[in-house]
Amino acid sequence: MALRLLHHTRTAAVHAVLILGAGLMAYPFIWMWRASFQSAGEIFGAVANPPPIWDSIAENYGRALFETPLLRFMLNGLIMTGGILIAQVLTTVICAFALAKYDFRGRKILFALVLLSLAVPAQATALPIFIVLAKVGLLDTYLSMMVPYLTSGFAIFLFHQFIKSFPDEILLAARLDGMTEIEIVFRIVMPAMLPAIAAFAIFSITFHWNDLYWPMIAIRSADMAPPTLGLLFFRSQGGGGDSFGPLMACATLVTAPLILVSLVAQRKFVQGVTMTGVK
Amino acid sequence: MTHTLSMADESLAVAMPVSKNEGAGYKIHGYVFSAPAFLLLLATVIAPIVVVFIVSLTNYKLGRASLSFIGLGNYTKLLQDPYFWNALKNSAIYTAIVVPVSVGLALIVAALLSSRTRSRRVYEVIYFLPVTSTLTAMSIVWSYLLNGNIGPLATLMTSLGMKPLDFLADSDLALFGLAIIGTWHMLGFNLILFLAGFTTISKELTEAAQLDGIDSFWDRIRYIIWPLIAPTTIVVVAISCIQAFQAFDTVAVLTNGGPYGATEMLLYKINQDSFIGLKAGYGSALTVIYLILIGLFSIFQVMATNKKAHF
Repeated sequence: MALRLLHHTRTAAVHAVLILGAGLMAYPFIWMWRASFQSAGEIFGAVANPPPIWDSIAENYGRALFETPLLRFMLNGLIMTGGILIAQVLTTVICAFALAKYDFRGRKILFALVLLSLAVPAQATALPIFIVLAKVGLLDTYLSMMVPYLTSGFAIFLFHQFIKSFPDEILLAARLDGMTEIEIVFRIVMPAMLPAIAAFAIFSITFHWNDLYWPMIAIRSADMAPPTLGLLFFRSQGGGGDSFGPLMACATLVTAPLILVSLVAQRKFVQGVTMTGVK
Repeated sequence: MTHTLSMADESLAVAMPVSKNEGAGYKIHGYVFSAPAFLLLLATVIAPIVVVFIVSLTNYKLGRASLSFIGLGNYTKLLQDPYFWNALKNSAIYTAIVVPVSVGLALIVAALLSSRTRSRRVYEVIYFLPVTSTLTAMSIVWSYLLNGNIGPLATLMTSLGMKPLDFLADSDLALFGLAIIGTWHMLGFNLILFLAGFTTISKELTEAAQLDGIDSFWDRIRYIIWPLIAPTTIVVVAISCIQAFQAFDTVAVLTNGGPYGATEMLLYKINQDSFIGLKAGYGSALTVIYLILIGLFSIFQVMATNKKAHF
């Protein structure tokens, strides 16, 4: 009896600590959501007669969506992350297939290059790429946002691990059936590796949707800004207490897509975001 | 998030085609299929790195037509530049706060969480929220949370009878303010890495230890969890160091390196000197230093990962 009581007390204590921690982790989100549901005066102090919550929500989100270029920023972000992902998957799957299933001279050098590229942080290559883009007049375009990331050493590495274990007999059978090599890659191998591609896709989308460093360099006009850069433009324009609610509504909407995906596909998400560095 | 190395040497050893005879007939395919990725890697990673090295030996300024080689001039200038040392110092202090705190707290939470069964998923989702969220957006939120005049922290401190701290405006506190945000942002990531490591600790082992009288939470950590989790910890520390040295978003959104350079960290200084100051040569020298530091952490991480694999 006493032992059981002790056990329950201990469990309760563990939960208390975990809940306190979870509260601290979630607090900025809760504060942001709450602020986006309130009128300008309410957020930083009591107001005698706060307007009904639905009015505040309509006001904040209405202004965020229709009086700021937020939708444009989100569309830019979608085009950027989507374009990067498509280019990455197309270039890396066939390259990983070649590395795993063909024997050709230079294969080892290529693989070493892939490994080397893993240790190079994206920011280190920014200046030369910027100079070239400026020379050819491509700054401030969708292409310039995607250029540094059209392929990914990380994806090649990951997919190579996967394709290596893909049975050769199936490839052989497909060849006997008269399939071309490119058909084999896209119609047989790629469908089998969808889980790996999905995990990488989550990693890639998270990284590029949240990236501020490169868009700050490549993009100059608000029209082309992805959400991260767009938020900074928006903040530098407004700033007054009046636009605070809409600003929090914008922040809520910018963070919403990734939060929703992480709630729906939690396992996959954790796997995708943390596959750097664990095996 | 960084692309980080793992299992490098092992993969080199197994980077052989599954069937040599089968693959040999497809040489042309090999070249054609790997060409797009190969050329892009060359153009967007390898060539830029080479260019950065070369430019770091020149006095090139963005927008100028001419440049001349000045040897190691940028590097000697860098060693005498108090702003460089300030940025390096700030990055080091930031890392020295964020890494131990986020790794330590993640380890404790993982230890508490690993014995939970039903509630574990819920906690995981919540602790992981900051990792997935857009840091630029959340930094704006944090600027109000940490504000000394209007934020909830100020209200709390005032109600406790203290003088509210204005984290981001006070040059003594600003770096700590950013470190608080950095810790909040990285903790969930480290937690997930630890939880993956904890799966190696079997239930039988913990139960056997309990029978042997190792019962308290701290004893369990000291005698069972720590010896088994130490290799994972070293990997997590290496990854966290890389991430901490890449801190940029919070600086750019919240402080712009201020007040008075108190939060100017390495990556932010590289960005400012290269793209705002247009000093491409000098910025490239800084980038080389940055590359070397990240490279050292990466090597450390690979070594730790391999050691863990042999463990």
